[in-house]
Order: sequence, then C-alpha cells, then structure tokens
Amino acid sequence: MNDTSHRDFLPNQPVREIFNEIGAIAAFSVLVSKQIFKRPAELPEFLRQSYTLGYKALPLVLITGFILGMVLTIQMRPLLVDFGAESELPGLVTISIVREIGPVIIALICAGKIASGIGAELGSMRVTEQIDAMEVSGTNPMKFLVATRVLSTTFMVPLLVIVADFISLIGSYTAMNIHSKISLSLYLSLSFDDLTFLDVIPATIKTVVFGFIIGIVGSYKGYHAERGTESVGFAANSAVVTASLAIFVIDLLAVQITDLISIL
Amino acid sequence: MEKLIEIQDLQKSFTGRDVLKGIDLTLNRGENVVLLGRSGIGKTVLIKCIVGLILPDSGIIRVFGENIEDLNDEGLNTLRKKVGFLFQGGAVYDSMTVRENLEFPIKRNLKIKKNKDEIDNIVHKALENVGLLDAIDKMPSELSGGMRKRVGLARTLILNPEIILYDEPTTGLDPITSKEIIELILEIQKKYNTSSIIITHDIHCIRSTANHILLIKNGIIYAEGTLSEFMESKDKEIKSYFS
Repeated sequence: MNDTSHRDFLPNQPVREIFNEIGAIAAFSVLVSKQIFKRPAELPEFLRQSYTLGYKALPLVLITGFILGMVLTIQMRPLLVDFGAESELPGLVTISIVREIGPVIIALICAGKIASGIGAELGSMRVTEQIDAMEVSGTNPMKFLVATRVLSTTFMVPLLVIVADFISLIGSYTAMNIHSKISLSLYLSLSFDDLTFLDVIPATIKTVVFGFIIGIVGSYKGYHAERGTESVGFAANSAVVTASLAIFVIDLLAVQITDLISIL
Repeated sequence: MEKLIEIQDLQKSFTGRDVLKGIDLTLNRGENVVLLGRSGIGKTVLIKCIVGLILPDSGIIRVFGENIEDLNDEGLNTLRKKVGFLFQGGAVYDSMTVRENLEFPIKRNLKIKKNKDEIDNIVHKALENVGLLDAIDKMPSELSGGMRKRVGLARTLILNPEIILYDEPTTGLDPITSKEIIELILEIQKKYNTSSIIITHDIHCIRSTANHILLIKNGIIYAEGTLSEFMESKDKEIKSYFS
C-alpha cells in the first residue's frame, strides 16, 4: 500500500498562497529597505509624501483620539466608582491608551486611510503604465515611489500616535468633567503618575513597526497590481485587510516581547 | 547601415504560455519598423524587452551595440535616455501638471536642476513641438486622450532620444487626432532624425510611417517586408490588415 496519508497534512492551496504572500512581502521589504539607504535621498518626495500621508490624516486621527479617550473614560468610570477607585481612572485610561489602544486603533485607522491610498495610487500608476514610464525615463520607481512612501509612514505613524495619545487624554479629561470636577493639572498628574518608560518605549517602537508595515503592504499591493482597473480596487482593499491583520499579529508579538522584558 | 537595435531569437513566456518563440528584428538608423499582429500576440512585450522593462527568457537584444543583459542599472539608465517610449495611454503622471511631467525626466537626467530658465525653455520647446503650449499648467485629468498622448510624446522627446518606441500611438483616437499624431511622428523623425519601432493596427499610420513591416503570428515573425511588398501580398493573413 502506498503511503499517501502525509498529503492530508500538506497545507491546501489557500494556506500555501498565504505563506507565499508573506514570503513575497518579506522579500519586498528587504528590497525596499536597501533602496532607502541608496542615493539619491529623494528628500523632496519624502517630504511631499509625509505631508500627504501624515498631515492629511491628522484630522481623522484627532477626532478618533478624542472620542477614544472620552469613550474609554465613560465606560470605565462606573466600574471604578463601584470599587471606590475613581481616582485611579486617569492613570488607568492613560496606560490603556499609551500601551495598547492608542497605537493599535490609530495604526488601524492609518491602515484604512494610508495603506489603501498607497495601494490605490500605485495600483493605478501600474495599470496605466506610469511606473513603467518612470523606469524608462531613468528613475528607479522602487526608490522614488516605494521607499519614500514607506519611510514617510514609518516616521508619520508614530507621530500621529503620539498626537492621538495626547488628544485622547484631553478627551478623557473632558469626560471626567461631565460627572466630577477635576483640574487639568491634577488630572495630568494622576495620569502620568503610574506611567513608566516600559509603557512608553515599547509602545513607540511598536508604532514604528506599524508604520513600516502600513507602507510596505500598501506599496506591495499597489506595485504588484495586475492589469485592469479592477485590480486598483482590489489592491486598495487587499492593502487594508493585510495591513490590519499584520498590525494585530505584530501587536501580539510586541506584547509578548514587552512582557518578557518586564519579567527580566 | 548602422544597426541601432538587433534582436536574435527572442523568447518569452508567461506562466507556461509561450508568447514570443524566437523573434529576430533589426532597426537601422533612420528607419521606421512597423510591428503588426493581433492583440495579445506579444508586440508590447517585445518592445518592453528592448528597454529592459521585461526580461526575456532567452535570446539576444543589442541596443546601440550593447547587450542589454550585460548592463547594470546605471548602464541601463544611460541606454534608456537614448530610447524614448510612448506608452499606449500616454502614461502621463496623474499627480503632476503637464509642466511637471516634462520637467521630471529633465531634472532627473540632464543635471541642470538649478537652472530654471533653461528647464523652462526645454519644456516650452517640447510642448510647442506637439502643439500643446496652452496646456502647460493643466492637470492630466483635464486633457483628452489625444492630448495625453501628445504630452507623453513631448515627455519622450525631451531627452532627445535617438530611437522612439511607439505602442499603438493612434489607438482610441478620432481620425483627425490620429492624423495629427501620425504627422507628428513624421515631423519628429525629420526634425530629430529618430528611428522608430511602431506598433499599430491603423492602416493610415502604417502607410504613412512604415519603411519596413514585421507581422507577428503565433510568437514568430510570420512575414517581413516593405510596405509595397505587404500591399501586393496574396497571403490572407497579410491582406486582412490592409483591406
């Protein structure tokens, strides 16, 4: 009898495709990372992309951050009041936002706005042969189009998260004042009392990785869009889904690493 | 005659489908070679191989005597400055104005970044050549299909290429605009002494521009000759393009 039982354990086609995709994105990341350090620096394009991708996402991030802080405070307050620990609310909200909720929610918003935007833009450029035209005119599109965008998201997403964290605290302060009067200085003092470097540094490093991934996934999907206008929409959609999933996976890994560091 | 492009036994396949099965092509200086063939037969693949946008599976491509497979990125970029490429839809950069589209290759290739007046002069001259000086500050979205192709052509001409590869320059255009584009191609050839490979199905374009015609069928050169030889041919396949 032929032993074919092992075939049952081989990953089926969709699973294999997922691993192929992960491998392709990893290889693409290496290529792009090499381009980042190559000359010319493409500073004007980097600044233009930082403005387009970062600054233009600011209003959305500010609104989300403010609402996030308010909602978190309103939801947590009754529970803490029951335990007579209302004074712990600012600290608890701040740690939740800085450590986890701020980076993840803002990264997800950036995945929705920025990764899809990059995916659609590069996808459209691929389909209309603009990327080929750029290459033919002696410009390296991987450097000019991709590396600048990836570098911009890597810089801008952490900045957006930091801004959103502060706005969340203002939202939280506003929500606190709905039920009880508390001065801003006291609120901030209570907020930052329990905050340590171990809360801030890993969370900030995590956002740098989120930014890189958002740029890479958006660029990869757009750059490799197949022919036809349909693929532009697919690239944008796929960029959001893949980037969002990657954010959760990286977050899980980051939490594990931070946990290990705190034990040591 | 000086051979500008020489292709020998070029083969290319995509996911198991053989597109080009051994193409031989020569472009001499001052010559216009027209590529004929049904859609999807690999004509665009062939001209993209010439500028290194697509890597062939096998075969030799020599441009200005240099085997493109032996060139590094820098060498390929130097070569590309001498070979212009007009894409099917013009491939005008959507996020830039017409002026910025034309400035882009200059700023990145001619090393005259700081001299704004000089760049302006080159851009104005290129747009004058294609009759689009009025559209200099327009965005591509404000232009018609024909205008976009002309902007694409102006951008191609801005680096003074010796060879121009045209991918269906008149497809999708009305007869008047097509005629204008054909006249432009001839004018450019006369003015700049360029040599061209033109992919087209447009009989007027073939009649006006072709010195030499190649018909691709099933991945090989099915027929090759001058315009008069093709016009007089009794072959059904050839006749179908000229009826």
